[in-house]
Amino acid sequence: MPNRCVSFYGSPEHIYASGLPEPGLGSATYVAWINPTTAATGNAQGILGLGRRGAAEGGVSFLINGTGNLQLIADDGSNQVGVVSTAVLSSSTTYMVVGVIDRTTDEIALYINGVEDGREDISAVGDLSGFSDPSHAAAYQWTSTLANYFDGYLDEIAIFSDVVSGANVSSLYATGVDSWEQYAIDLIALSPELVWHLDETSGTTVVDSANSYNGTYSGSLTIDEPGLLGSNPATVNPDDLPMVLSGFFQYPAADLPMELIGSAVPDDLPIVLNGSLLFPAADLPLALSGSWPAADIPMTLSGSISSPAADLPMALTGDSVAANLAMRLSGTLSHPAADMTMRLNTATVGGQADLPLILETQNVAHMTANAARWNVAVSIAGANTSRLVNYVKRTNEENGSGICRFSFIPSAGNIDPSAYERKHCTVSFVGKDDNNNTTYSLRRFTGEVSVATYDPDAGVMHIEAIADLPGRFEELSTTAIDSVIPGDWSEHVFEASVGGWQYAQDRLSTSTHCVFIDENGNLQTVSLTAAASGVSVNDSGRFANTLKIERPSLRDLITRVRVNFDFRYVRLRHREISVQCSFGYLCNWLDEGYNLPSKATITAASNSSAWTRTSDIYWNELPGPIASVCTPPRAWAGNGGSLCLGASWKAARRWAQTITEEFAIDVVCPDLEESIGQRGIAEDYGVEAVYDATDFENVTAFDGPPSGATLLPETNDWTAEATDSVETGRAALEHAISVAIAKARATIVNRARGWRVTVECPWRPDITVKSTVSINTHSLSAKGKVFSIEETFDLQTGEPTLIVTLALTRHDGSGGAAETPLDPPPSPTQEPETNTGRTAFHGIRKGGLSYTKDDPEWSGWITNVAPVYQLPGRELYDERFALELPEIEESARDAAVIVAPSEYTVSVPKDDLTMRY
Amino acid sequence: MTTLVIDGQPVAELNALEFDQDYRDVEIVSFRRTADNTGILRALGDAKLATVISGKGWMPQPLSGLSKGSTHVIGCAMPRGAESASNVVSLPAARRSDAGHEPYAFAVVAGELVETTITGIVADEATCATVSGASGYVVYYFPEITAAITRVESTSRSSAEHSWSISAEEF
Repeated sequence: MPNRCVSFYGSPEHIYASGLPEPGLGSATYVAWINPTTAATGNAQGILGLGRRGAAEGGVSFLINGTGNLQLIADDGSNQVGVVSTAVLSSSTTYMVVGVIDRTTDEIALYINGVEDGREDISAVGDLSGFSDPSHAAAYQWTSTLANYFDGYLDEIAIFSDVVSGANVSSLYATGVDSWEQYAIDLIALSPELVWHLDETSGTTVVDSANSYNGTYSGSLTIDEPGLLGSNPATVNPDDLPMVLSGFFQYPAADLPMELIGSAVPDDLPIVLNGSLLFPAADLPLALSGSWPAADIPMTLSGSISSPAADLPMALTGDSVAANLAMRLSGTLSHPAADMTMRLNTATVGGQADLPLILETQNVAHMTANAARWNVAVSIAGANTSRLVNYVKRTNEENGSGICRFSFIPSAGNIDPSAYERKHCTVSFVGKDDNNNTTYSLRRFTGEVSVATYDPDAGVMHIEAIADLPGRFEELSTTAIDSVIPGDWSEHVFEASVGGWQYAQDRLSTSTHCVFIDENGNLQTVSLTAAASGVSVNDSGRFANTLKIERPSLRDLITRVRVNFDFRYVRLRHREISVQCSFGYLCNWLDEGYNLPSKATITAASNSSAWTRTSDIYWNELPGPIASVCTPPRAWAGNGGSLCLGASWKAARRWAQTITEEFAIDVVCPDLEESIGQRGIAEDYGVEAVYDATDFENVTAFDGPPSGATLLPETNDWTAEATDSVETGRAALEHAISVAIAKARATIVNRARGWRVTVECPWRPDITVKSTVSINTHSLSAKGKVFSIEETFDLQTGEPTLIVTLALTRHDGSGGAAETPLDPPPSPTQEPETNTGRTAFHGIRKGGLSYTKDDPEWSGWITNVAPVYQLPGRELYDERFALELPEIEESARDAAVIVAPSEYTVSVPKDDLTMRY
Repeated sequence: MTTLVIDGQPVAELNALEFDQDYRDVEIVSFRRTADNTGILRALGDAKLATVISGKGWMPQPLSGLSKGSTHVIGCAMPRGAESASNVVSLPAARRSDAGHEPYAFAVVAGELVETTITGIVADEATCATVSGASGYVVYYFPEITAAITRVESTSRSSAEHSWSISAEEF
């Protein structure tokens, strides 16, 4: 924050400016801070001179006279009156000097350092206007000669068109001694006509911070000298700048070029940016610079801001420079007034013209009046398009892009229609008063020119612009769309998607909402259900003979949707069996002399089966030495070695079973079926839980020993369903079923919303696609949400019209249907499987005793009795141990189908529609 | 005497010994009725002025320079009036201010026009000196319009009567 002044040297250095405010027959106040090098030079030193003193044109001169007294002289060209201070100013001393022309008392007065010092009657002086230009500071003009130059420092020159009271002069002085910043703030609060801070650091332009009375430095003066006022900062209280931008920001911080510069401490600027913005960087050129007093900028922007570039050029910069508060909020805020608690109070250092604040709003009273004057404004790429011809027509409807068409005569020169295409385009309705003054403007369309065609014979450019709804979604991720569009989505109900318009449409198809881009370019989402109250249109608000009714085709109505949902998944299974082998008793073996299998043979067989041995082998060993055994008795030496009489162990097997659950869900609207019978469609969906069972089946390293002895059939069988996949598991299934049911419900409800009532009205701005409208005429009453609108601003007839089409939901049922909550149905239960044996027995077959031939299908130990015991002609067998364990039964291995039927009831609303004669 | 001026050139007195000027407001206005028979009036933008100027004199008025392919500035010679209930009367910006064609004012007092003065005109608002008992004020002005010449006609007779007519509409 600069606190600078200018040094003059008593030679022809000065400031000149044209058109400075003249008192005329009114009052005026002149303020300056001075520090004369020598106060009493013997010659006058001008501080401020308007016009020519002593000439026919007259003027006002504010000066130090040759004896060092302050003096103010008013000269109407014929008469002049001056007032001279009693005090003599000192050299090299800073003073705040004030001269006042008070026409309410017809007096002229002086103040030095806030204290009055001199007052004279001025009634002899007439009109102080018509001064010759230019006017000057640091000098004044005597007749035709510019002279009387100031020698010293000048700072903070101000001109008022009224009287600054003595109290305010005193207060200003006390403030200025302490703080230049606060002085500037307090000064501007008194509404000066001109303020020259004289704080320029370069150039020759003297900037007026109050209006546009800029001046020019002339001569070898020195700018950028230390200021004459105090340098303490202005006071800024915490919470003075509560700025909140909440809603939808979709870009990183670097996309919001926000600058906070100046002396405010961080806590003074509680700025919050939340959410996602639907437009690119540089659309919010927000800059806060300088120091600001309390409560001056409570700015809140909340909600969804989706405007195109340049719609929020918000800049708060500096403290006294015109146009530094070019704040414009137009067309892009869709919030109630209470959401925009914006105040700019007092100490903004700038005039009213420095705050071009525009808040566009509709004026229903204007366009519902019987007589109204209007116009329409079109802008392409920020440039107003004048010479519109024919008409401007805008259409908008649910789930569709807004389209606007208009024509204009282009400027002379070569024509390139493509130069207009892909340019930002806005259309605004302009309300006019009886004098054709603009009273308000209201954005009607915000989009982009899609097609420009030129009619060379007519010399007319035809424009079609579009508010591209699909395009708005193409760059959005699914996450961003989820935050905007209601409904739900499942990859098992819809085609796989990474976002975009198709994804948004999928979500919408599961809900009773619609989406559209409003006239301000905002993305809007609204329920299709008519609101309890809305805009009313009666016979006085619509044109005669414009009502139309369309009823839905029966072919389009649906009363029920059968949702068939298959869920295929893998059930992991583990089964255990007991394997038992017995090869006879010791006495049999001794009596018949056959071979016994070795333990190695049994072990090898147990380890080479499809069943995995899960326990150690329990051996039926040959006994130790026995003195007398069997019949007839004999002795047994007990040297069985590696042979065994039997063995047992436990084995296990793993496999994957495929399960299919079939859900048959009927989504039914009883109210519609009461009136039109059953009209159904079917939708088929499926989820297949992805699971690779190969590893599971191949794993043979079972953990821990099995339960029970190896001879017992007790086993550790178990199952597990592989349905924990996030994308394809049971949770995904249940979500998909919910989505499918929601989609079926929305299909029934939305198709029942097929009635259309259309009416043409004098154009009014309060009916949009978002509106619920009640039409009450002598022949028809209807209420529903707007389906589409068509606005036509006819430039040939001067007639602005609005065609509104309502969509109504109707049924002729009793209306008693209660909505079933859209919870997924419970999982079906499976019938228990038939028990299968859990013991695999293997015995012994001995050749040489019977005529039965050897059979390769035999299992167990196959051998022959000793030759001495073999009977003649009997069959002998190939000796072997064949281990044959059971296969998994088909019912446990193959797919199982389980069906779960259920029904959901849908209730459709019944919008008002009464026709009468 | 007032003088018609076209593109800065005054019409010579001998060309317009007799002189007429008609004014007509050109405005795009729609009037339609609602279902309860209420009239709905909508006016588009600002009204423009159309005028037909005709004169007759001893010498033919030179008309060949009035191209229909370009605009012309017509300083009208016949006044139009603007009125107000107060002493501040709004005037169109498109008006003459040259000597002899400045706006002039009357107060309406008991149905009679009483001459008064205009104390100042700021931003097309004329302030009239107040007159006791006035129910309103009327300010007359001479339009100066940038116009398209839509029709030019002239007739000359052997009796040295030369009549002419110009139709124009404000842009």
